[in-house]
Amino acid sequence: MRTPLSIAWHRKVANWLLLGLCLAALGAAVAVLLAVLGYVIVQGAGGLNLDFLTNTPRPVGDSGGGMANAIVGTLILVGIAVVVGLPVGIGAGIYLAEYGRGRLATVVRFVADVLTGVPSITIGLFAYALLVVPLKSFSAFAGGFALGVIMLPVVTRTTEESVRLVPASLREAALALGVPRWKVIARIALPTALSGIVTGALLAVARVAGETAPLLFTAFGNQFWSWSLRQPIAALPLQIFVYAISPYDDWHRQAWAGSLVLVGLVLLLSIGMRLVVRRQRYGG
Amino acid sequence: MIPPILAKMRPPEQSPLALADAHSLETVRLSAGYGERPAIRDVNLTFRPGQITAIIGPSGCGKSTLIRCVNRLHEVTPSARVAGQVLLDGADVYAPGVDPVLVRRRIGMVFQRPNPFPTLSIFDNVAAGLRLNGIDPGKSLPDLVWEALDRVVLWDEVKDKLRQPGTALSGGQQQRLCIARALAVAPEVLLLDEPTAALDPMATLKIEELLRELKRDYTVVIVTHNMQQAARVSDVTAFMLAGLDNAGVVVEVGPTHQIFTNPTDRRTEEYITGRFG
Repeated sequence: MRTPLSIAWHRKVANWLLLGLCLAALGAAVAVLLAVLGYVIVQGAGGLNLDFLTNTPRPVGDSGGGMANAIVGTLILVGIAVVVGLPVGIGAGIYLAEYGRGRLATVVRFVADVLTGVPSITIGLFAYALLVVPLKSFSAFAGGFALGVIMLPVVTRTTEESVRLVPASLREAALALGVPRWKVIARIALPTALSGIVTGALLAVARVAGETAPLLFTAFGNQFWSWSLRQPIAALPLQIFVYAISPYDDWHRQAWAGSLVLVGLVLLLSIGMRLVVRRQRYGG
Repeated sequence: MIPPILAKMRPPEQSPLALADAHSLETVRLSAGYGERPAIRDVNLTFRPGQITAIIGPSGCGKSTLIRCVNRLHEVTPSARVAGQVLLDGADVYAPGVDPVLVRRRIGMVFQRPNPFPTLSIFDNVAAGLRLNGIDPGKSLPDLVWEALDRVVLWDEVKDKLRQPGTALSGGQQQRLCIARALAVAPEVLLLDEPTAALDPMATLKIEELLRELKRDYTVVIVTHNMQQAARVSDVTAFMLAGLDNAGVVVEVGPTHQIFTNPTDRRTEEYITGRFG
């Protein structure tokens, strides 16, 4: 027979058991993350020095040299991607959240979901056919465009979700003050959803910053400095890829250092953006 | 031709809060619903200046829909429909060519749950209506914010933390902040949709005291679930009930003491004595 006491004991055990499982799952997830980070730091720190951050690659046999052009190249590519992907993505997300009823919205939503699942190399091919072939040249712009297209669906859907999460009561409060609809969206809904939109944008940026496949035949890579959007440009993931599959120990070290820089860049970007957003809240 | 309601918009150079003349409001055969589903039918009510009119009735009888029709907020809901008239000083707010945005500036609204803008400070919450609408208040914004906060007896409690977010206040304070926000744009009518439903008794008391103050300057309409509240604060009470087709109708309207002591309709009596609802 189950006395109240035994039931209490039973519940306590079940409680501890489930808590234990949750903690184990958490531990596993964090452990993987830390292992990856730790390994990259341990392996990459050795190759990281001022030379690496300020010089272009040297030919095989010459020691030294670095990936400065690839670091700048990645920043330029991500910059183009943001210019291409963010405005359209955020705009589409706002449309879906605020006006998104009916057939058009369903189609847009479906397309965005399908686009999320398209392999990035396919999007690279698309950019190749659209920009590289007609212009007869690999270019930074084609690479950035491909990355922007990859960002697009992620930004669209996270923006939609964030704006949709703004409580109806806030919109109604603003409408009841006699504020026109577009101003309610621009001045109340968007600021309230801002941190969610920024998080979505950061996720998208973090994802494309490490994309390699779509850059193979768009940005192409470059061993030298290039600031032109119409010329091939170096990118960290491409450089890492080339160096990692090479047979030279020196290049392997540099590939690790490149990985570390890439992780560091994404991290810096995230922290920086969050600080900016936090400062803007409650301001003025 | 300028629609009458626009012509009656107050010139901005006048100080909005100092304006003390309240305005009359009347619904004429007002019906509304959502898609096929009716919510209210043929509501004829007059809300007089200087009085608090309470609308009572069980859940789902269309009380909220009714006052949301008055400031044209009902139509924001998808599939919403409205028929009939709402006369503000004799001019129909549903007349063709009338901008709902301008109607809402003349008819302020306070909601069931306090809903200060979370991204704005206390100061900015009160100033929000003026700033977002680009209204020149004719006097300095800090003065106006002070006036509105003083009006709702909140100034002393928040004067040292005007830069803090509005959501940092207690529920009762938030609701008074929301009333101040509504008053800052100088409405003529104030609609309150169960303004104390989410508040504790002390906060409720403060809001009720405030309403008695405000009725001197505004036409006040309050929807409430709480019959004691209606009895305490209102001058006129309207009792609504949903019919068989779920459309709410006004069963009885009259001076509050009469509705609560000597109702003429049997259903009103049953409701106020707690036999249903």
